[in-house]
Amino acid sequence: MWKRFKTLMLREWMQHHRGWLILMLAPPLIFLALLPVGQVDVEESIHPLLLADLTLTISAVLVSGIAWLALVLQLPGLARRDQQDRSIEFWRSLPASHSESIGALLSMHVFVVPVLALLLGCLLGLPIAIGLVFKLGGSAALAEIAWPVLLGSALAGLARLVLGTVLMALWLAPLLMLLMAASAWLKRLGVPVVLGVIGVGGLVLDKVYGLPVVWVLLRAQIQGALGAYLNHQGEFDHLRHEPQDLLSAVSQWAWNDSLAALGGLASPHLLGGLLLAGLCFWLLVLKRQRSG
Amino acid sequence: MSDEYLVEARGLSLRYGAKTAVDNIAFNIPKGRVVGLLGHNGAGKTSLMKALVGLMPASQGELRVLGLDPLRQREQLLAGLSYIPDVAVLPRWARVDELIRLMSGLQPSFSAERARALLKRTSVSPRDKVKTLSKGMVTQLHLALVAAIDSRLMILDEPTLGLDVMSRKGFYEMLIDEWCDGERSVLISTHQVEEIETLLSDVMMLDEGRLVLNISLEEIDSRFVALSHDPAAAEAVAAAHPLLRYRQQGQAMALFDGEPLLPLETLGRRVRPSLVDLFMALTRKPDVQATSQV
Repeated sequence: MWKRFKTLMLREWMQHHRGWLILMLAPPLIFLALLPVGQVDVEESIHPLLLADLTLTISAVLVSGIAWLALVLQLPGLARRDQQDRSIEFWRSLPASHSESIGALLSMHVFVVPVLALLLGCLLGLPIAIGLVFKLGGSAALAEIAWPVLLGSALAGLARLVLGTVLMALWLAPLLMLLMAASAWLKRLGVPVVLGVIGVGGLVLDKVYGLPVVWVLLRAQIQGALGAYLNHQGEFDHLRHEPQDLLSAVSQWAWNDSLAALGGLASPHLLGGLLLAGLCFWLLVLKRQRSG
Repeated sequence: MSDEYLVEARGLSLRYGAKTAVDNIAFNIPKGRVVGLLGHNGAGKTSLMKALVGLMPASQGELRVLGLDPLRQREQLLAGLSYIPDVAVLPRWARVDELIRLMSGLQPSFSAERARALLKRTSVSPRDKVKTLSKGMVTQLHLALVAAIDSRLMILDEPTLGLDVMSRKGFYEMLIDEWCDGERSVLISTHQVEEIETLLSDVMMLDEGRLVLNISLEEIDSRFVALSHDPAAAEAVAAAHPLLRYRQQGQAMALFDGEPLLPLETLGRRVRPSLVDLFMALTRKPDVQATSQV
């Protein structure tokens, strides 16, 4: 069963890897290409080590953000992908269940790709950081960077962001799955109908009946998702004066913030959202069963 | 149900809501047979095919394929079955070698080596993308993929619909040369009766959901009589209630189920009945269908 699931994930990679890689690699590579000729304004007093770490973090978060944006736009269409190109008949002729097919699709798009985006963003952030530090401070500034400290803190931060990505996906699951299920059943009308029902329904309940329940639930899910990704900012101000503490500060923050994000999972909103996501998953399986 | 047959159906009915697609049919497919499933559009062929691979529930009756319940044991069944559901349904974005890799991971009985060997018979290369191939090449690729599954039964639902004559010929040549070995069975549903007649060992004809004929090709020769006769004998021939009267190469013909009570040698010449004529006879004459033996 695991072999089949991995193969179905491989199928996602085969079908979408070109688009994913362009999406993830293009922004940092364009930035890197423009760096020698462009102008960058950075606070002069910032220590090169902190500047490099900040660059890595921004690169990782930015690439991950782009991947998330693309995911939200792409996911509803994926619900009907195999029906649209008629390959559903081929996939249904193979001994893989519909749950496995949809599960592999979601695992790849919602978990693996955003995590891959983080890793690639961080990786490409390294040459950007080197280029940036060199551009602003020359080789002397580069020499000031304690590379083991930078890599250690980057790894600690990355681990926190990877966990945050996975947890954020859980928080956003009901919204994403609702869009997918609506798209599967209502085709092109799916997304507008969901957005319309949530928007109009929320307004009517709020303004006419004084029940802002839709906004409360939406706010809870989005706050939960943001908190899962980045629970609190931590206290990094002292690093301006003590940049050598970067590794311990980031590690400490990553640990505490991860615990806080995990603690946030004990929420009825998350549980309710996951139940809704489960229902939408069942609707997707049902639609796939009835296709063809 | 016995182990003797690869497919066994008893009192099988299939329905879409109130509409009956297949109505109370019974048949067996033993090993080593090439069975043609013939029928007009809407006769119930695709519904039956879908039921055979667990994509449609039986509303009544019993169905076993390779000894399994297709609906409840679908994944297990598909792991040991070669099935082409339609023409050109391979994912267009995929390359041939990617499809082989995916099949290797998804289909436990699939041999990538065998698929590559089969593809060497065709003009399809491993680096080709499906979307760059002609419809005929996609069909040959699909056949190569499913023929590389170590199974005892292949189910083909209109596999050559819309293909040119060369592609159809190539497809059936590859099927017979590379897959049929006297132990494995094939069930082919098609409209193109003339082209597959020489490949078949048995034929099943569906008409409006009913199985109007289920017979081996040898039995057709012994059971049905085609008579080529002069126009002068038309009245005598008509009086013998043929299944079908038609013209072939300008010659008047009549087709009978069983030996007619006529002095055949005086009326005309007995010829071998073609499958097409039999198909026309059995699916155009409802009064005869009702009484014909299945």
